[in-house]
Amino acid sequence: MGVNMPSIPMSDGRPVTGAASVPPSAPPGTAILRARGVRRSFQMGDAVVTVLKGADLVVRGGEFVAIEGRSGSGKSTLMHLLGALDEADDGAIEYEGVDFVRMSSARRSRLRNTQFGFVFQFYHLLPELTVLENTLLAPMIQFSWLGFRSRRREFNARATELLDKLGMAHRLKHKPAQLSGGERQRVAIARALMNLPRILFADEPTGNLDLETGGQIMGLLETLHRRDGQTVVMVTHDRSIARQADRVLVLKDGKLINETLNPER
Amino acid sequence: MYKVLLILKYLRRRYIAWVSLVAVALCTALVIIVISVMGGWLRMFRQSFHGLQGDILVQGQSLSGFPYYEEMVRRIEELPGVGPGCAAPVIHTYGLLSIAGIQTSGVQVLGYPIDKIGNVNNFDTSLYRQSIACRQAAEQLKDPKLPAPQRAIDQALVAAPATRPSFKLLPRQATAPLSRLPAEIAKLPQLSGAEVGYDPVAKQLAWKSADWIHEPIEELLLSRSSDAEYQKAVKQLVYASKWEAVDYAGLTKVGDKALRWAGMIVSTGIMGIEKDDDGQLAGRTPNEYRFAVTLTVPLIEANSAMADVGNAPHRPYWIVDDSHTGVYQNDQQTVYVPFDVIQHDLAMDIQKDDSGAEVTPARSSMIYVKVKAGYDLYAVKRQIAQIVRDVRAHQGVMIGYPVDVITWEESQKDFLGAVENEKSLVTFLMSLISVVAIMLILCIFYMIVVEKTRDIGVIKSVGATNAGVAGIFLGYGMAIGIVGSGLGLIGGYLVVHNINELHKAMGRWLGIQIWRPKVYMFDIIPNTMNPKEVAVIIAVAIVSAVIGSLLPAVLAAWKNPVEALRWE
Repeated sequence: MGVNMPSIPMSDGRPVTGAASVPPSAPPGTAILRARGVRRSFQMGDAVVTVLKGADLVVRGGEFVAIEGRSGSGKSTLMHLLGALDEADDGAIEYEGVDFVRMSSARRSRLRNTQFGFVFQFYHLLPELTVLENTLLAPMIQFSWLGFRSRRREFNARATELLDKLGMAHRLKHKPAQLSGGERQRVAIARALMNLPRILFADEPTGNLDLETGGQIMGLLETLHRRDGQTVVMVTHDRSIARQADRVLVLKDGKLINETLNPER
Repeated sequence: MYKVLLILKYLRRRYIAWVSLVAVALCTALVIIVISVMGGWLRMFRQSFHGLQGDILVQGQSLSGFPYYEEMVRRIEELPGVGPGCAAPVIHTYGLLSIAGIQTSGVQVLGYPIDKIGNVNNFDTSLYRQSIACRQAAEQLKDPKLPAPQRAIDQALVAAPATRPSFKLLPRQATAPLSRLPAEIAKLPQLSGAEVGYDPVAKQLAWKSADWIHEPIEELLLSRSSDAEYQKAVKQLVYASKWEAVDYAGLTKVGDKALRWAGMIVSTGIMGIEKDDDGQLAGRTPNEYRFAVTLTVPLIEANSAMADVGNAPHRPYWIVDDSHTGVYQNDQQTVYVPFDVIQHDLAMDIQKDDSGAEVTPARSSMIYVKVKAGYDLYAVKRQIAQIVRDVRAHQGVMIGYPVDVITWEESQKDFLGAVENEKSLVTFLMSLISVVAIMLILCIFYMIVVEKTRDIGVIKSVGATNAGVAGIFLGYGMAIGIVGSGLGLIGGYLVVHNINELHKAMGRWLGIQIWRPKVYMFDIIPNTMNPKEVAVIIAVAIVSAVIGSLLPAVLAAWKNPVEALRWE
């Protein structure tokens, strides 16, 4: 099995092309993820808070979609639902035409492992693992102990190359606690990309970073999208960040009420 | 793969889990120690009793014994599973042992046909003079630097007894001439025994002269002298040597009959021989095997429960050896005497009327039978039971003299059952402690799961299934069990294998004696581990650790990934 590496910029910002191959995806423009009338409520003490009140969304292959909304508007909830991390109370979310409801828990887990990648605001790296081990988490989960051991060199090479291109080659053996915020987010991106996901979900990826580091992270996502055709779904409360996407959806009152095509694209 | 990696990382980094690891190790060590000691005790008990009795016992229910045992023995020895010489009649009774006329104690009396007893049990190996000392002497002879006098003694010991075991006296050694009797003793006034017993001068004299004082006495007795001067000197010496607990006063009355006295083997407890701090039997005196004692046994009428105490025969014996079987109850107050002698004293031999006609056949209390290796014990037992029935039927013994045919285990079933019950009880109590360890693991793992909630969310977001997450914590629990029980095994092994030394140290430094031979019947604490039992304990420890981690693992598995990611 060859090492399929998306081309991403190096730490100095100079874009490079990896072992050119894009993640497996439907032809650009084909809808791969569709949400219809999605509703989600939470019990908050005695009260029931309805966060999503019938959200509709279509994500097409190769596009960069930003979901913008104020804090507490439900954008993270929507991303979790789209990423099969949570289940909607009502409505349907389909991946490749298959409703999540019809998928078993194990199949949804497999989907998250092989088709989706997640980048969170707070990085969520495992503190006991090194940078390299964190990056290798997805294939380690995908394969059995024997299966992983038999392909360890291949996975190590891919992870190392990925981290190298993200400017983290010198930090392979470091623990997350020894890294800066920007470095941790780079490792989180490397982890999300390790299994060549069809959709990369990013939840406020720059929310915990300073302006410059946040800019670098956004540059990474943009490059992934533009050069490698990576489908990206990003949620953010920052309009300026959202505008870097192809398409911006605004989540308000539990619904995606506005859709803006980025004129610069 | 991620499960193995995370388990190893957690094992090394989560120090709180080390508490559960220590708990598992301590519980494992504790159970290993207790089970090893209890199991070892049971094993020692079984081995010792098996070694003392033989494989199968034909046992009369009454001390009056049962008749026609010779025919039974003959037919039992004809069985292919037994063989010639492997069935020995034994008389079992109780008596009073008088030592030197100053100490009398109740004893268990076993009448052994000494020439056969070695074929049916391990009695011969328990004898000091005829076995242990010979083995020790043989060991010492291997030392080329052994001093010549000691070498001569050892060689004599190894070579001396032509047949072992026996009730014969020690071979005579060169004795000191009577002229060597010290003038001080010859000048002793004629004192009564009671007066001498409390006379400090006589006591001191007896003590100092103890080593050589007996030689001339023995010489005197064995030469059958009736010289009045010697008799006088002997009387004086006897009074002086009362502190040596030798009944020479009785010897002088018996005179030359003493030569014909039977030999008696006594348990070490009767001679005050006990294990010292180094675990060696100590307290033997050079003249131990020339002590004379008197045994009184109550007559039990044939086929009756009536004991004739008034006409109880008393017979003097020479102590010729001591026996240490390792079983406390046998080693404290038991004497072994020749079968025919005690049979005669108990009127269990053939009783005839004045015309010489047989009135009562000879009787025995028991028959010890040794079964050949490879033969089914219970099949041989059935054959022996049939023989007993046939002989009784043939001789017309339909009622009376009730007899049981039992295996050695069945003969000790009450005691073995009690010990096994005690072992089960202790195991149960230890299991309760293990439950505490399980609860401890549960609490600690629950804390770890709570602490790792966000990591659980992360792992699930990357694609781990519920089963995978549960597997991490179950595997973590198993790892705690494996490492903890491994450490417990090492700790348990070290304690068990040094338990007697530790016990001695506790006694020396803290004055604590937990293991009392009187209670536990053995004078050493069992210090061997049974691999099968240890394997079960280790397996239970690992399973317990997994059980302890089960609930936290399920809770972790069912965590909603979104809620887990939001956990603060």
